[in-house]
Amino acid sequence: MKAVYLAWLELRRFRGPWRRFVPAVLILIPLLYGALFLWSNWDPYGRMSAVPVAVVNSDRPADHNGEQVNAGEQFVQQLRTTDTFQWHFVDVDTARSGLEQGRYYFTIRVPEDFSTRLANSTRSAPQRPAVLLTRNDANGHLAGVMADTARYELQNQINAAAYAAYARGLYGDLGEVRGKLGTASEISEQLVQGTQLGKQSTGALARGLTGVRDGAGHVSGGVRDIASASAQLDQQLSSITEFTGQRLPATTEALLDTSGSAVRDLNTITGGTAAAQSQAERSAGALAQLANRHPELSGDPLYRSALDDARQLAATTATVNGAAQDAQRSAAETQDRALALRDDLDPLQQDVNDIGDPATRLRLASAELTGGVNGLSHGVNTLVANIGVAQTSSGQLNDGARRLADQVRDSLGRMPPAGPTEVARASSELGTPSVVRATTLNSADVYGRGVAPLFFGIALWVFGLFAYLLFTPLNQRALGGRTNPLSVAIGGWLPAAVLGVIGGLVLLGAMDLTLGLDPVDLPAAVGLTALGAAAFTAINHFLRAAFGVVGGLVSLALLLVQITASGGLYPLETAPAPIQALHSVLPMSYLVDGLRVAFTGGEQWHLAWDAIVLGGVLVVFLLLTSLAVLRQRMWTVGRLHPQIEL
Amino acid sequence: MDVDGVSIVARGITATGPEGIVFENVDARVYPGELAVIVGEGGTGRTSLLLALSGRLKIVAGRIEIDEAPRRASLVRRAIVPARLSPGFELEGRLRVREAIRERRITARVGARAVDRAMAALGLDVDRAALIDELYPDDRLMLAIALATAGAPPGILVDDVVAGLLPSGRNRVWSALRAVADAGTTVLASSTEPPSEADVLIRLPYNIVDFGDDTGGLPLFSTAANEEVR
Repeated sequence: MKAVYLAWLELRRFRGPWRRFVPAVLILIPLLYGALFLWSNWDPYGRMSAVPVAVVNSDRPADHNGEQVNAGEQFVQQLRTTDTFQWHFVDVDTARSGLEQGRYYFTIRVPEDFSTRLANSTRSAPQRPAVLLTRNDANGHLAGVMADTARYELQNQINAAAYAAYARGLYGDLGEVRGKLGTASEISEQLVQGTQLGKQSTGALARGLTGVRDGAGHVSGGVRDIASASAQLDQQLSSITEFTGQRLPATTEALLDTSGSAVRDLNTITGGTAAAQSQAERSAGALAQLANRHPELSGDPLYRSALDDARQLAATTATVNGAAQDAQRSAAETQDRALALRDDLDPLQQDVNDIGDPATRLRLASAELTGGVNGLSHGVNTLVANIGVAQTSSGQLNDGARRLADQVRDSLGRMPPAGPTEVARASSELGTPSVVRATTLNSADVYGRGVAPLFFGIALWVFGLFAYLLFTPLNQRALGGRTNPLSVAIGGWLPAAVLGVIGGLVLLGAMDLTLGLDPVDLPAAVGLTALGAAAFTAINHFLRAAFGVVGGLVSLALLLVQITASGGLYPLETAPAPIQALHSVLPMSYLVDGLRVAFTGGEQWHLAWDAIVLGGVLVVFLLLTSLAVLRQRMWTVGRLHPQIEL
Repeated sequence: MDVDGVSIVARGITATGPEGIVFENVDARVYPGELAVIVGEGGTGRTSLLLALSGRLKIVAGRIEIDEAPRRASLVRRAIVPARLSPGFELEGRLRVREAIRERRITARVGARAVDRAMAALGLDVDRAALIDELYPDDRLMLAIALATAGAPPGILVDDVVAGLLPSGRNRVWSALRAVADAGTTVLASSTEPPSEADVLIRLPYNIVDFGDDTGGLPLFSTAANEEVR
């Protein structure tokens, strides 16, 4: 509590119109130092495009196999498409004077023989073309370092230009060739499609012709049938003609004769049967009259039988007479028909003679048809055989077209692309056949974020150094009085430590909010910043309390040593051995290491160990200051009248 | 006599600094309740001698006896407390009077009433809200003396008493210191001019010591500048 009150009284000293701002200004010291530096150097490599660089193209185009090689122009065009630096395309004198006067940080010159060397690169003794890069470290050495970091990219640009020119020298205009190959590829595709169609249609044609051949076979069979049928028809017709012309009229005459005699005979028969009938009927009538006259006879069986016979005879003779009359009528009719037949024979004969002529012509024609169909069949057979050959050929044609298309496509694929961006990519791949792929654990992303831990350390140390220019390290009254040494020590340390912690956190907050420091472990960052501020203040407090002005100088020296020894910029291994040896005994090393873990990630035990070391430093230096208090209760003349005063 | 003062005897003490001898072969005897004044120009080693006599500066030769015997420096420091040493023990000008009082209560372990009493004893009445720098120089020195005597120490140190004071202020301070001594506290003061109130005068750089009535037993020296005050 005494220490806290002493600290409070120390802060109360800062009153008055201007002095009251002293603590506030002290709080801003870390921000002033750390933020200003980090702000201006947050991402220098991301802003290289603002660095003016002169580009001079002295190249003269060269001829190679009738092609013009203009690699210098190509290179300049490649550069124009990038914004690695702020390119100024100027002539050689402007570039030289600009470099000397600081207008350009370096110059890139394409020499006169750039294209020539490239064009000759296919000859027996090739010379590598070179691009000249001239730096002026009077403009700042780091600009040159930046140029070096960009050299890889620059090399790519040069390679791209060289490759394009080289390819043109070897193959002429690759782009044109490629374009033509593209056309050829399209055409060959069409050819493949066309021959494919041809192959399909000859197949279909062959199938159709086979059908036709089969049909023609059927047709010739039918025609042969027709020919034989018409021959038979002709033959039949001849016998019919003969029959109707000769045998039919004779037969008709005979028929007429026969039917005439039959009619006459039947007339005779009919007269006899009619007399027989009337006789029988009268016999039957006489028998009936006999019974009437002699009723006794009617019971006589003999009589009855005679009567029945007589009656039957009468009936039979009637029937026979009827039949004879029918026969006579039929015979008359037959004779009539035979007469009519004889009359009809002449037209029939005429008709039959008319048929004979066309039938003969039919027979002749069908014979001709048979001959024709046989010829057709032959022709179709030949055609089918030829179509088979055509089908095979069109298949071969299609295969050939397909292979051609494949070849052309393959060539097109193998043909390097010739556009500027493709050339650039191809050249970067050809020029650098392998790449290094880098993966970063706990990446800091930008330069500023990577060096922030060091600048936090420096800012907090500078604060401690500066604070005791304004704060009294030890309260004189407490030193001369009876307050215990630890309270005096803490009372002197506390006001600066509180302001230092606030200042450190202001720096951290400002970095996070304005520049995007974005610590991966914010609580650790806050804690370690506070602890670092407290520890560094304790060290500076001790130096100042124990050694006065000399202590301030020691602090300054320690600061400078720690900047190099804390490993915050270059890897520690690049430092001289004495600096390396100091690394692990200087407190800023631990703050830088711990903040690195807190800001961008890393091993947690590092963080814990750093915190322990810084906490230990804090305690040790407060105890050392207490010892100093104890010792200073006894004055020396040297302290009373310091040899060195500010 | 409120306080038992200390007696201080110095025998041939010498202190050196980076630039050689600061004072050499100084003898002195101060009885309890005496007002001893070291007289000399600035830079003659007055403050160093005050520090040496109060156990705050290492001497390279001679010896100092406090209450008739050599004592541990820390005990001597506790017995003889500074009211003002310049440089080394001065009130902070940017603090208010009440803050200075509070500070002293902490650093010297004295009570508020003791401070009040000490101020009253000196007849000092200042605005406690005033800044120390705003006080008149004599009030400022009187406050320092009051704060030193608040713990009723056996001895006090007051460096460079007359610096920046008008004659009236000087008289007031010397009277106050005389009163403190009369109350029993041994007072060691330094000044550029010898006050009439002093019991003992120690002149620098001439190692001239005046032991007043008691001149026995101690080697004295011998320059014409040797001067009797009482």
